[in-house]
Amino acid sequence: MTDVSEDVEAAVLAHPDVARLDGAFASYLPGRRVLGVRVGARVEVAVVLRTGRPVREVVAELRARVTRVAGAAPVDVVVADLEWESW
Amino acid sequence: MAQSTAAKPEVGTARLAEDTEQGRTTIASSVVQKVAGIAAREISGVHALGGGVSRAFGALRERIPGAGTADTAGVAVEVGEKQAAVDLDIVVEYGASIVDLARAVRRNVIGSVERITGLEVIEVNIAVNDIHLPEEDEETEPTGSRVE
Repeated sequence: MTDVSEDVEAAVLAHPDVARLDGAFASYLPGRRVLGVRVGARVEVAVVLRTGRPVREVVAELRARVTRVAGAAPVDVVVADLEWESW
Repeated sequence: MAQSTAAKPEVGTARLAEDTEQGRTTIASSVVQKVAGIAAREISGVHALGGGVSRAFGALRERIPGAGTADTAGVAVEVGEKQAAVDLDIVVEYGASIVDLARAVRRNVIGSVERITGLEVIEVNIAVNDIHLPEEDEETEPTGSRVE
């Protein structure tokens, strides 16, 4: 039995353009915390992307993935940073 | 200073115009900064970024009210809700036409930032701080051969 925040984490990390979640905020669970995910009336996700694609497109895809596991709540996405392979 | 009464966004972040029922999208200034830096470096003839003093003055200017700023390694950006301004400090390769190079850098930075972040780039200021000569590489290479 996973928490919704863990489902959101897995859904977001499964996207190929997501490098990692960013620790601007977190969900606190027994025994662990899920960085970059906060689930309440809204779902908030903070991500570091690894992409040269338009952020808007990637965010729309992430929003769809999150909605699939977390329901119809609005999904706020913070793009905290970019990682480039050549950096 | 009428602007100072407006709510300032969290430092280092900018809110994209996208604010729908499905949620808000926020892009950090550092994202804009990286895109601008990469786009500038992509242009052949740009040797490096950085090395100028213009960044020190960047903080004094505020072209976009309430904008978040970010600044490292020759790229300073100011990011508002829908717009961004970019300041670049570049070192060019010897032999490149600086005017043509600056134009190419500007075009690439505007194109990349607008494509990736969706922000409108209102200005790209370019300061050419130095010219890199090919001999400078050779001077630093032969080390260790003097003493055996």
